[in-house]
Amino acid sequence: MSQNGKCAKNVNVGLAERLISTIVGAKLFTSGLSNASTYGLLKAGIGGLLAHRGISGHCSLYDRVGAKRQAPALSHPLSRQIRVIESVTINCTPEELYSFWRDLRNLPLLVPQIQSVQVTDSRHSRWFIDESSCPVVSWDAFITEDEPNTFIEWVALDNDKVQQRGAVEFVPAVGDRGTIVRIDLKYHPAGGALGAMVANFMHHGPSQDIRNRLHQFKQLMETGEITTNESPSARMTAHDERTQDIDEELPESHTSERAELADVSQNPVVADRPALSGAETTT
Amino acid sequence: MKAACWFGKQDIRVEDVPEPTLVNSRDAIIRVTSTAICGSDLHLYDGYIPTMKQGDILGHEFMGEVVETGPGVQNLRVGDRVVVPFTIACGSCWFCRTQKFSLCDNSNPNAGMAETLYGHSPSGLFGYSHLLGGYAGGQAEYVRVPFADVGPFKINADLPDETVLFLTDIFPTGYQAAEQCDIKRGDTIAVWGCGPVGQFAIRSAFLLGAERVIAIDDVPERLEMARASGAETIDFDDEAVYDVLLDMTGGMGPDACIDAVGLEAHGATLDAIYDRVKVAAYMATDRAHVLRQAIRVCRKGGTISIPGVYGGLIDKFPMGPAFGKGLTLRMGQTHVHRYLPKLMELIQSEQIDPSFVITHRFNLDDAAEAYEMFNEKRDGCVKVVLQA
Repeated sequence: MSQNGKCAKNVNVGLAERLISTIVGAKLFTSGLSNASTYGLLKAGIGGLLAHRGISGHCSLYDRVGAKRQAPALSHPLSRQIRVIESVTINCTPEELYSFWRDLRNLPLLVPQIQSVQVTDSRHSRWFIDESSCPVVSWDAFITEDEPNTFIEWVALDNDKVQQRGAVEFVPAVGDRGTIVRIDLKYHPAGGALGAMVANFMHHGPSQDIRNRLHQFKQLMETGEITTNESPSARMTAHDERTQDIDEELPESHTSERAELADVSQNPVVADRPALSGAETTT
Repeated sequence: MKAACWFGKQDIRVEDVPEPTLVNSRDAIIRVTSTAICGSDLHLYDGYIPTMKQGDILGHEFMGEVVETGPGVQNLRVGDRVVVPFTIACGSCWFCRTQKFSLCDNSNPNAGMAETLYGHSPSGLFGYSHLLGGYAGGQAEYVRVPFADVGPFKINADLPDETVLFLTDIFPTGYQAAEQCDIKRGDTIAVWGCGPVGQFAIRSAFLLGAERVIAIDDVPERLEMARASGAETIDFDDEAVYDVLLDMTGGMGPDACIDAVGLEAHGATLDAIYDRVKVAAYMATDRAHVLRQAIRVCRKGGTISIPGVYGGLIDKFPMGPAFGKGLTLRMGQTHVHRYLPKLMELIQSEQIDPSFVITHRFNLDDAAEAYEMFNEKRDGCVKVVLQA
């Protein structure tokens, strides 16, 4: 699974460049065709090549000069499938990481939008989503491959239709660096492939989201807790803060929500401070 | 509680804000007894560091008393007196385990943001922009300290706050800057910037065996303080730094150069003016006049050590000279945790009293005035301590 698909192998143009290449190419192509001269045809030809390069994500020139670039989100812009491959190195053994992951009930810790996971049997489970965060409220998941301490592969089904294929592998890292956790997700995003492509270009897309989740998985496994800057307490609850996409919206500043704070700030004496409450983000 | 909050360029206000509470099990709440304004806080004050938000609590140099600990903090007790490293470190990632605490993998909750800009994320810092964690800072009455079982350093000795406060940042920062110079007997070290970090770099260079230290600045009180530490000085307003340094070192150049200035370098040379214009036009972010000068004058095969903060992009970086002269460049935020026991020993054996840099003391209520004075370098201001 660490090998990229056929389409991914040919992609050597970055996402932003592909978008620009496609738009500029299409423009040249149409304006070239409207001018029936040699110059016009030449323009249309160049436009066509640029557009093809943008859509396919492959540039022969880059191949020749050896400027091979890997697109991080291995998604084909015209297919309706998004593919994300991300990895992180965690200072734990493959056994520790696999066991956390294999107990599916742990996963809502990493994705707070998931309210709960109901494990039906060793391979089947049903996932429930916080209604406010997603129009889909539940789906079934089926583990298709399970190699202890090494590899898990699954599909997520909505009305028996495959919505997502995912796999995670645990590979010992070189030296004393722990274990490489590599995630490979293929799914059909809301807003179609183009929406996801633009979102990814804006760094708010699936790649960044998965990378943030992996950071939090690493934090949890290495330190026992998910890092948060929440403080003072009146800003947001730990849960609220974790549910928002870190990169999409900067966490609220420490004191900006002044209106809500008035009553809390009447609490200057140390002894009055509430003791450690249920705000814990670890288990 | 009271806290010094950032509201925009040169706009600091002391506001009444809610007190912090424990969030994670490895947290502690510290009641701040003393805090200081760092030279790098002035980069925030002047609006050079991106991702600040209105209302952010400033301050990364602070110490105080433990008032509450989470169940995961076994090494601290309520009432313990601690200094808190400004870099937040988890203690368990590969970087922490190899003593590179300021590169901790786990302490920046906004790591994704830093990755977009830097490729990877450094550790989170207290009160130093959302890019570096968005943590509330210590220029306040109380602070939540994450990973409190790793960071806070207990002060058992009967020493006043002012003697140990600078263990949080500027003393280790100056010390690391000098240590990075790999000083050998007979070495001459040049230090640009005689602010607090520069002052500690000068003292540390001597402690590590430097033969000569040459300090460069244009503020008379700072040059005077450097001379009191045993350094020779150059006032860059009156003298051509390159010529004088070469002359002082018999044409060889200093063995190592410390840039304790960073991204807001002043100067009246052509490249300094060019930098000012570019930054004003948003075509570059950092002014690297000192760095260029240090590379030009450094001895062949020498070291450039950079404790001064840089935040973004610089223009006209003299890579050719740096390569041609075989220089080593060393830089980064301070691995504070690594140095604390050693530096505490230096303080207790009276080889250094870090309070020598303090020139002004304010109450936390007057933080705005303190920032302004420090920024303008009025009244011989070198270092400001705020009492909470």
